This record gives sequence, C-alpha cells and structure tokens, in this order.
Amino acid sequence: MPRLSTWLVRASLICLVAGALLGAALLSSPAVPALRGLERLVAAHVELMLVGWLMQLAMGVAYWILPRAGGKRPAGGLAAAGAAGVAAGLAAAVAGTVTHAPALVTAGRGLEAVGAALFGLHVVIRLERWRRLAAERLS
Amino acid sequence: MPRVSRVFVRTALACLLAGLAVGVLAAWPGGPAAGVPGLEPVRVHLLVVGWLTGLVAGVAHWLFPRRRDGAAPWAVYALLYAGLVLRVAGEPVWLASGSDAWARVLAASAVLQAAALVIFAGILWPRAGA
Repeated sequence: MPRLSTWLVRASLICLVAGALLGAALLSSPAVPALRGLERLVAAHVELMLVGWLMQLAMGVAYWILPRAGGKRPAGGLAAAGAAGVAAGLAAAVAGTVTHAPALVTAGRGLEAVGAALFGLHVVIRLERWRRLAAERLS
Repeated sequence: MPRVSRVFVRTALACLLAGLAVGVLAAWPGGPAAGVPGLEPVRVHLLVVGWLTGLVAGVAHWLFPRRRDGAAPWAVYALLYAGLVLRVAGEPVWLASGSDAWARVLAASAVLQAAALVIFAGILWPRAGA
C-alpha cells in the first residue's frame, strides 16, 4: 500500500474512533447527567464521521487501488495536496463547531472542497492516462 | 471472500433496505409510522453505520493486506449490529416515553457501537501500513 494511502486510512481510523466516542457520549447523555449539554457537538460528530472517516478512507483506498497506466501512479503531488487540504479543512471545521466560530467552519468546509477537488483532479488525470494507454494497446 | 466479509456485506445490504424503508415511512404523511418520533436519526444511522460502515468493515477485511485477526472481526460484527439494533428499537421508544430504562438501553447501544469501532480501528491500523 503506498504511503499516502497508509496516512489517509490511518487518519480516517483516528476520525472514526473520535467520531464514534463523541457519538457514544451524545447517545448516552439522556442516561448520564454528566454528559448533558453536548448537543452542540452533533455537527462535529457528523463532520468527523462523513469527512474524516468515510471521505478520507475512500481517498486512501482510491489512491491505492485505482488503475495505474503502465503500472505507475502519476506524481503524487496533487493527491497529497488534496489530502492535506481535506485534513486541514476538517480540523478547522471541527474546531469551528466546537468553539462556535461559524467563519472557521465555513473556511474549513471550503478547504475540504478544494482538497477534494485537487484529489479528484488526480483521479481524472490518472484514469485518462490509463484509458489512453489501454486504447493504444488495443489499436 | 472470507465468511465474515460475506456476512458483513449481506447485513449491510439489509440495513440499506431497512434505512430506505424507514426513510419512506418518515416522509409519509398519515402513513403507518406517522407520529413516531426519532425516525430521522434511525434512518441516518441505519444508512451510515449499518450500510456504509458495515460494508466498509466487510470489504476492508477482505481487501486489506492479510494478518491473523482471530475472532476480532466477528466481535466487531456482533457489537456493531447489536448496538445498532438497540438504537433502532430504543430511540423512538425513548423519545416517545422519556423513560430512564430506555435511556439506559440507548447508552448500552452507544457503548456497544463505540467498542466495535475501536476494535475495528485496532484491526485495520497495522494492515493499513503493510
């Protein structure tokens, strides 16, 4: 498994554990008085599970497993920049929801979108190179 | 595909259908579930935990570089889906009744699901670096 995939999958696992523990605290709050008042963290739970867990996992597995033209992945700069953008955006969005800073949430989600777009560009370039090579081999 | 992966994927598909059905019931004015509280979070968790996370757990166990995990993947399966069943049953009842007993059922559901996901992360962490 390439190093970028390892980082992305492990980052997604950290978010899974953090999001699951936060979700468990939220769901337990009716039975545990000490946990009451956590409702404001529902948005952080959603962000951690959807972007942190599922999106980063999908990016990590895609970078590992999508077809490679001639057995080589394109230079990983775009994919790594995309992964960094998503991770930084996620951190900002979660921090913004926890500290009630809507501007930070907006900036974080914007950064997540830019990161996802960069990663998507890497995927498009990679698939296009693979398609061209496959077409050349067939002709 | 290992047996535990097949069981995960089949259960995930059942959760997908159940989540979509709950979505129909939640959006059906005057339907058989009209007035039942908490259907929206039940739907979201059937789809995100039961369908997506269960599917990921099953496929990851099959796809990621192999390692001897023993019975741990089965423990993840049992804890995750036992917790989800308790939540699906417990959340509407607790919201309707406000009973302390059902609040404790929800807390048990939370502990089971969190335990499953912590064990799953522990299984996958070394396999992601192989």
